[in-house]
Amino acid sequence: MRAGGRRRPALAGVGAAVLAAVVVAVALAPWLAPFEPSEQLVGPRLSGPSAAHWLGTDRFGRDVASRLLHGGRETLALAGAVLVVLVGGGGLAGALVAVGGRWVGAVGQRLIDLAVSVPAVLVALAFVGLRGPSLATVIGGASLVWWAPFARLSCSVVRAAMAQPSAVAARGLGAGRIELLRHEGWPRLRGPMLVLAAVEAGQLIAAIAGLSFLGFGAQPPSPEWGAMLEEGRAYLSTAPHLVYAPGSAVLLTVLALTCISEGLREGLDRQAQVVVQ
Amino acid sequence: MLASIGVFALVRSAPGDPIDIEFGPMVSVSGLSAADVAALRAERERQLGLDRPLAEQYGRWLARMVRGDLGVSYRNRQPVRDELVRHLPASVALGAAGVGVATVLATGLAVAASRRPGGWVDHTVRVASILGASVPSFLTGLLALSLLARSQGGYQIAGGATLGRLWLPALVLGVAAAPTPLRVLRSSLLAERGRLYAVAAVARGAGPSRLLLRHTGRVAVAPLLALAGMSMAGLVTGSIMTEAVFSWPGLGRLAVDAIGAQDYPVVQGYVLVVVVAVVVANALAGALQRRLDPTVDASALAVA
Repeated sequence: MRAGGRRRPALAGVGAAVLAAVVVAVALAPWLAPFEPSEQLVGPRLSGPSAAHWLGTDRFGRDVASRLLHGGRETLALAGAVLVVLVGGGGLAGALVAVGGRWVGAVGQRLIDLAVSVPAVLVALAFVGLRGPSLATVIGGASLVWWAPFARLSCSVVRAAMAQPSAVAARGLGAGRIELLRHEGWPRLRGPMLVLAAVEAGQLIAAIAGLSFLGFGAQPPSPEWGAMLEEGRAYLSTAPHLVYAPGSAVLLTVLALTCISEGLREGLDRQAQVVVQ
Repeated sequence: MLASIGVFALVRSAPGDPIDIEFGPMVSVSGLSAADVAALRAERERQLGLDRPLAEQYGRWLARMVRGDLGVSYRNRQPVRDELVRHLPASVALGAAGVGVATVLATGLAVAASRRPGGWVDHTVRVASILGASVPSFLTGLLALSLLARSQGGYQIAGGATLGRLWLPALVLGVAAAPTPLRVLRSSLLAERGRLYAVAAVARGAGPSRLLLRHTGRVAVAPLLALAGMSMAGLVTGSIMTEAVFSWPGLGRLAVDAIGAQDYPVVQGYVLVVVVAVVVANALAGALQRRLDPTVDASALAVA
């Protein structure tokens, strides 16, 4: 462990660097991309990587690199925004359940347990079944249960924090619930929440790409990564770059987020050990 | 209970009520007057019980569901239950094979990694588990297909649920499911090895395999049970994706096709069956775990 302990922060650093690179590249897509994402160029179709087209062209002669850069925008922006809401809402709900009375505690815990056990992709599918395929439907459906992991974490951490001597003392001195949450719960919750958020962000991006790949999220003209994978799938044996390019993009982003979470977790563990010592 | 209300709410909020769907084509061809149609509608509404209060409708709906009457598919007029039953074996086979692969991978690698924590085996396993946990299963599947597509006499992409086709999706599903139990098992094996009883066993002369089989291994397995219940959700998600990639004729495929065709009854039946399966799996795992180890706190696994 000692030998590995040293290198962990580097892991989070590498992850953060890769993620930052992806986000910047995607954000600057309109300036970075050599072509318009939906521009059907006169020239070779389904051609592999070349000097003119770094990642080749697809069946309509569109530049894959340009599509890739543009395709990440919607997914990353949406995933980021939704994540903020889920972390905030789920975290707050969990904390309230933890400090709430007996009824709030019991009912809240039940709700959280239920929502945790239902697969988000399933709810997203059910929503698509009712409302038709779109990125908004998919994300809306998934968020219906995706707050639960955050709520569960925050509930158990805050509950443990409230049992700490310092929290008991603070309550004895007349601290209200809000105050207790802010001074006793939040400092303990911050770290683990960040670790979880990084993991779930990766899962969220993977789910969006996966559902688009099934044809239920972003629709074909869109260069969304999952939609690109779906389009490229038919050419798996003749033009595999159509799958490899968006596949690597998804992979790289998710992997970066996992590395960040992994590194942060190690950092937290070490911190905990120092405190114990 | 809560889950059933959730599903019911979802069903009732479907766009365009069932009568519209049923009558839509009829009205346009039959040339009935608007008043006739309205009368017919009211009649049919009474038949279906849609004019009753929501609570009563829920009660009737629940009673039907419990009896196993899931309605009729819009697409082929087959009872939804038969459709589900027809696609069930392929999904169960794939799921079981996937769990088998995951179990073998997780135990083997966890034991190997826990032998020398911090050693190169441990590090390699760790990197592999990070990779396995990050790569979405539909990507692994596509990658595997593209690699096999190049080799001669490769994998049959299209086809039924045959044993010859099972191994690849099972492998993909297993690789996606293995990392979490792998990590939990590795760390609990290590933790158990440091406990007094394990040290005492070593002092009495137990070798590494005896220690593992007779002592630490048994205790370290307990936390995996709660995980097994929870990983049911991941398995469902994974099977939807893998079945789509490999055109494996299971429940996930059925649901995906049904959604594409707006076949609500089938979608509803699928969602209901899966939710029930997930909830039951969780409850079972929880009960079993409490049985084995009353001190266990499931929330401790939340961070794991």
